[in-house]
Amino acid sequence: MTLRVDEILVARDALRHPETQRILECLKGTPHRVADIEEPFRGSYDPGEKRLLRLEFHRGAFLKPCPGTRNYICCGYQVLTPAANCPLGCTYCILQAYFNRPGLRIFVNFREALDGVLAVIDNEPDRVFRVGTGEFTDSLALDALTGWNRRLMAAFSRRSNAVIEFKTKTSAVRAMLESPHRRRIIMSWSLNSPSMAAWEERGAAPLRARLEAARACQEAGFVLGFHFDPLVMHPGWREDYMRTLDLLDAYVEPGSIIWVSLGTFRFMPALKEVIRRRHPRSRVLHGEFVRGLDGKMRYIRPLRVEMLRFMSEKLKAWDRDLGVYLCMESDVVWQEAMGWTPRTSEGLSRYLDARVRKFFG
Amino acid sequence: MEKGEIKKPLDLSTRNPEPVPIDAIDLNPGGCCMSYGFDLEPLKESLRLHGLLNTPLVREKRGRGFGVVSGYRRVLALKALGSPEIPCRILAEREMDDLQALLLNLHENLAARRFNEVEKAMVIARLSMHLAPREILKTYMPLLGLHSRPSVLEIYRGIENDLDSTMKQALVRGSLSVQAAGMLLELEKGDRKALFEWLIKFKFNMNQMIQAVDLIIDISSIEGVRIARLLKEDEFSALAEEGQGNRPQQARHALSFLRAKRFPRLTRMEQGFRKRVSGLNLPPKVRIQHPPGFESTEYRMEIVFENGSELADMIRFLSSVSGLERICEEGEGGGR
Repeated sequence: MTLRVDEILVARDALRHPETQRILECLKGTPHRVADIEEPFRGSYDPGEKRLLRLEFHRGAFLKPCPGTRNYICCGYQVLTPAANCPLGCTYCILQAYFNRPGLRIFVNFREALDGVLAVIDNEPDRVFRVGTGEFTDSLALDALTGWNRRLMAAFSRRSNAVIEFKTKTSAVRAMLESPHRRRIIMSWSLNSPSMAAWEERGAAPLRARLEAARACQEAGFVLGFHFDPLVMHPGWREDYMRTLDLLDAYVEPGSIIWVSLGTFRFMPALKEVIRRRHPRSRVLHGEFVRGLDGKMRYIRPLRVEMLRFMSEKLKAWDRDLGVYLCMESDVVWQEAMGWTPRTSEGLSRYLDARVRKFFG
Repeated sequence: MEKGEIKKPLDLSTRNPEPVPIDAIDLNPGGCCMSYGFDLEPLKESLRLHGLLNTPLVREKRGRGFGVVSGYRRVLALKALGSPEIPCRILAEREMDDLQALLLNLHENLAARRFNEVEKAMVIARLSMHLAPREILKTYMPLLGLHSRPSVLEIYRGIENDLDSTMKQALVRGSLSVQAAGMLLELEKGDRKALFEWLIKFKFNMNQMIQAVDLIIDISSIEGVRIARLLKEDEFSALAEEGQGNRPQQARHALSFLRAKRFPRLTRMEQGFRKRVSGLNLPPKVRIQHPPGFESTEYRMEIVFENGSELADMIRFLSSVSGLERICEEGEGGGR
């Protein structure tokens, strides 16, 4: 994919940072200006302005536990945040309502902060750190600009108590394939039904392109992960998701898949207005949603169970050892949809840590 | 002077009023006007009894008479009373720029009265012609008692610029909330008008109105039918017809209809649950409720009693009720 940037805003204090200068050089020809970090406006307000790139320092911790939500079982993932927001513009993207500042942000101090992140990991050798950069942005979409993934791959491949997952909806894997590192690295793709991918994920790579990239990575020796999240109710969803599962079967071998997550569409109530405004033709809001125990809107429970059970049964029929798990679901839904439950977030963490040990030792 | 820069205040205290022919004053709501939906009668009565106590401030318009800076209502009231001319303090055009005039009137009004929502929208729309959104959010929205959020700013601009006078009047009367107006503003003009006209047939309270707008937007999107066309369908138009009880009942009925249409499966679950509860023939002092949206697995039973012996009787009775153990069963009834 080609990253399209209309304007670059550089935080005053980040201007002289070498990484800022390097990125500005990469985007030579794109207008840039120094701006106060709070400056969110350009003409009329658009909370989802994505063609604005901000280069700034990240002041908080770069490695944080997945925010999770109360009353639902969380996988215990560690989120590494070199950037925030995403250039792909999926209609349902929760980031549209998650951050209070619009625009894509690259944290130019990531490179020097990485040493601190690695020190945190090394400080707890008995713990398994499942780390991912795809929570608050796409893991690969900005790499052509930052080049940080290569460094992350090298750093994680030397560790025995951590894995790093690059989660993407792109097919931009060339740099990953060129890297000599495979150990402790998981290449993951977010998948959806063909109609959802075409209609709601227009900035992402087409489904087949994602799977071709996955196949290339698998053939190059990477461990793979897949994420069906968000699963979206739409007319003919069973047949539609089945088509994706058939494609998955056609493109990759199940043996090197460490895990497959399933999660039905859920969103903070504020996202509804944003989706209506930014994506008036989107269909993701059409389902029957109720307010969940964490305050987020979710499909009513029987619908979620129906959808998750369908997906888990089909995946199980493909291969019984895919490490299928549910993202942010209740104990009851786990039991009803999967036939077993990890009971707690700690239980799910143990399950996924065991998957890590199985694949990487 | 750069755009948005405010000049030093003029000393107007020594300026003597001069008679200005009423026909020379532009009575259209101009760049300083922030009056809407007012009743002139009390002011006319005051002018009749006590005369003009505070003279309006007008500004010369390049060879085209005068524009009102402050005192718009007084000018209108005096015209209505038939005054041929009005004593005014007069400013030459160059003495005060548009922004300065607007701010002078704003602060005078802020000190004397409360603005209705349309008037706040007028202020914001007029300020937007001179100032950056950032400045309006930081300085003026708090003065108007509004949240300094960009989305709120957008709604108020839209109220002034895009709502028609019927909707503005409904806002002033309080029969349309700002939040509902904000939702209407997101719609195409024809849909907005159709939905507004449908809404005001009911006596929705503010919360119900927001729910109704939200549900109708969803239904229109799900069915792929424009709102204006959707509301012409028989089942929608029939809702507002007579024979559905009094107006609050009509509103509740309309909302239930919309909910059932938007959430068919959830509605069936709720109906199934209610049917199972009513099949238990529980005493009127016992109520069983399902969890909201059937999301949690915790149901609630409420027993109203006057003394311990009544409670004990009730518990004995409940333990013998057949079917109680199946109250949370799955099916279009929710629960586990």
